Amino acid sequence: MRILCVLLPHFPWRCELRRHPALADRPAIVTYTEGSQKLVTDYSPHLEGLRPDMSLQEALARHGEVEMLHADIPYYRSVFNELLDALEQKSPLVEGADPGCVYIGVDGLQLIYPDDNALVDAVRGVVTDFAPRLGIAANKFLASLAARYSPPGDFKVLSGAINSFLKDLSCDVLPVSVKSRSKLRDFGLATLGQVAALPPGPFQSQFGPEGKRIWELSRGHDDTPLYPRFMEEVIEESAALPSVTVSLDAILVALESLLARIFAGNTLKGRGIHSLTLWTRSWNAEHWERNINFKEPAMDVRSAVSRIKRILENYPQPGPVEQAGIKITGLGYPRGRQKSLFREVRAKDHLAEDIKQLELKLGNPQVYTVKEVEPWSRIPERRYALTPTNR
Amino acid sequence: MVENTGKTLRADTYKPVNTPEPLKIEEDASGLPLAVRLKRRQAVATIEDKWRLDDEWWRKEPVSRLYYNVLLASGQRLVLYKDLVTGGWYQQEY
Repeated sequence: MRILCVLLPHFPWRCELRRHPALADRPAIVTYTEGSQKLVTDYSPHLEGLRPDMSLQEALARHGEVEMLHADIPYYRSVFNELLDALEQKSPLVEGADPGCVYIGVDGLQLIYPDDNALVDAVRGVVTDFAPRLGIAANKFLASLAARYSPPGDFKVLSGAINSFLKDLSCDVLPVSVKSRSKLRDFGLATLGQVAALPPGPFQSQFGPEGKRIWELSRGHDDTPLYPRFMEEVIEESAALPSVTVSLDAILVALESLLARIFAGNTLKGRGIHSLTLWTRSWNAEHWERNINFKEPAMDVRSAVSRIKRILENYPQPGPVEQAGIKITGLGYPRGRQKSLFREVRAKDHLAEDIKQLELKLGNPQVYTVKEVEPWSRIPERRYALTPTNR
Repeated sequence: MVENTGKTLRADTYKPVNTPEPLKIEEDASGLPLAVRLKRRQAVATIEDKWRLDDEWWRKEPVSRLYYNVLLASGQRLVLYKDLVTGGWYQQEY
């Protein structure tokens, strides 16, 4: 299978540049927070001596006069998804490996793109703002190397005798664990040629299961299949909070109303929520995100909220929250659902059904429930809120 | 300073309760309420209580209000406040 790899170097910085064109003239560092430490995600391409995941302190020691930006992961993800959508118009087999790295299956496209130049031109047209590097080869590893070593503004095709190309490359290009990489260094194996020259058996006995893969990669063999994007149904809702808040209850009320909106919509089609991604954005643009899986699909707002509440309690927010969102990533049917024996519960279900009918007929929420948001607040309008009644 | 994100809430998500309602007030020279224009003009008989609220000072639009609990000449009790940032008068249950 022939694969075209599209590398988009400095993808987070280029996303930021897209919405703040003035950054083109100003050196900038994109940061993220891990624990109490600020680390570098990306930076302006002309800044030398920086690398992703280095501490901000270290980066600032090298470049003091830089603009700092907090990584806006949802935005980068949405830009990346936009690019993948556009690339899927060029080939149906598109894998978004990491933000900034795309693999495209190009077999069978000869009728549309008679040669590699035509194909590359079509792909480049989609990602032209992101200074892409493109490479074509027989597998993902070689395609990524071809892209990495392609001349700027051009593309590289790796085919035929590739050993001469691989033998002098540093072992750092191998997509393997940090542990194996450091072990390679300890053994004095600096280039792929040195690894390829070793017999596979003893090499594997030293490096364990990953040894086989390292040895094969050093010879240009990679049997990792292409995983085209799974067209999953994703439901996403988000809302800005009326005021920045650290109150768990206020965040929960906002999330509850988002869930109510999701359950009220027609997208679930009788299914429950199996997994979701919860995210918030703090006023200082910090991003917080957690994936939540439900053992049994949550069929109503209440059951989803109780799980979400536990997550919010266990994983504190990085700062006062101004926006919250939910992305439903998995839907499922319950194993069995029985109507309640109790009349009160059944009456509630009837009421919910009636409200749903009313809203289908009249549009917009018609019935609201008063919820305590910040009952202790000195500002009266912050204390309670109306949220659409669980429809 | 926290800037206003400019994002508006979707109407079907979240509605604050007890939002302040603008009110027409006649003030005296010292800024105290003299009369309230509800359906008709009603004089303020007594100011029974007065307190100040300062909050969210870290935001671009801080909250700074001077509340009055007033008894009108008609016997009606009212809680109103003067927004010290914009200078406007509002009625709000406290």
